[in-house]
Amino acid sequence: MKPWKPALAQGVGLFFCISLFYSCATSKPPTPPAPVTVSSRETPLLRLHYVGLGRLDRAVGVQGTVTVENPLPEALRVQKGEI
Amino acid sequence: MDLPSKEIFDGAPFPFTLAPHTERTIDFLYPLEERFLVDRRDGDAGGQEEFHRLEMTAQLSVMADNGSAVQILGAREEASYPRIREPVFTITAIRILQAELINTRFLVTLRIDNPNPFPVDLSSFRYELYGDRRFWADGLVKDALRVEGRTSTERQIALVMNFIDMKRELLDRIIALKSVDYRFKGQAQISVDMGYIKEFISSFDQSGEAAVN
Repeated sequence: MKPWKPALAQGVGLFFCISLFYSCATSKPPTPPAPVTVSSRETPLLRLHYVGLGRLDRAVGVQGTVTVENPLPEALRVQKGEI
Repeated sequence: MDLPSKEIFDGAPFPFTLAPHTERTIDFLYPLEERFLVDRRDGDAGGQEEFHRLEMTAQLSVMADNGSAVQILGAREEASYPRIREPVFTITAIRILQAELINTRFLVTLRIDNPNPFPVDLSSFRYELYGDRRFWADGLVKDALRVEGRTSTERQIALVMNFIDMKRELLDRIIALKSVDYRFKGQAQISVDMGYIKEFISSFDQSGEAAVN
């Protein structure tokens, strides 16, 4: 074996090691999908609309509508409402 | 006014499920007692405002369909509706048609002031008239009478009185064309064209001094 061959082999080996290290250091691992964060702007919206004074059976009172909107991709349960 | 919260009622009772990307509108009627619909003279007149003003708040409890995270939603809205004030009854004059101790015939002039900007109709009214703290007469008037908005109208009522059990002084004073302290009380059936309220009973109890002529 010629005396310069081990040095060449060592140099090539070092180059691959450095390349591998560089590659490992700069590449990013695959990112798992981030959890969906629901911001406050995406929560259900509620609108109150006053119609006027009205009559229902014998009762007279303030008549209106309440509209609740669900902008989310999942169903919501509306438990109860109060005026 | 500060009214208690009430659960909204409609044709589809709570709870209900709201599908994704949908909305639902719920009708409601918050019942008001008559005292909030008609301003009584002995109550808080509320100044010269022509409308009652309301601030409404709606609250809904919402949770995810999987049972997590209850959220309370709120919305506010201002509202107004017209004030309805009771008419004011005043006796402006008492005229003697026939002055006798047993049967004295009077003509009482009654003024009805309508403080509302809209007309009111008196379907009927029942009254009692007192003079000098004594009962004079009572009666029921059934003729319909319209009083236009912010105007007054006068109505004459014929009365027959008997002074036989009263002080002679009262009859003498009336015959002498002096004034008399009166009290006029009763109930009137008032009609208004408001849609949500057709008529109401207005009680009146007015005292004053009326000229006798």
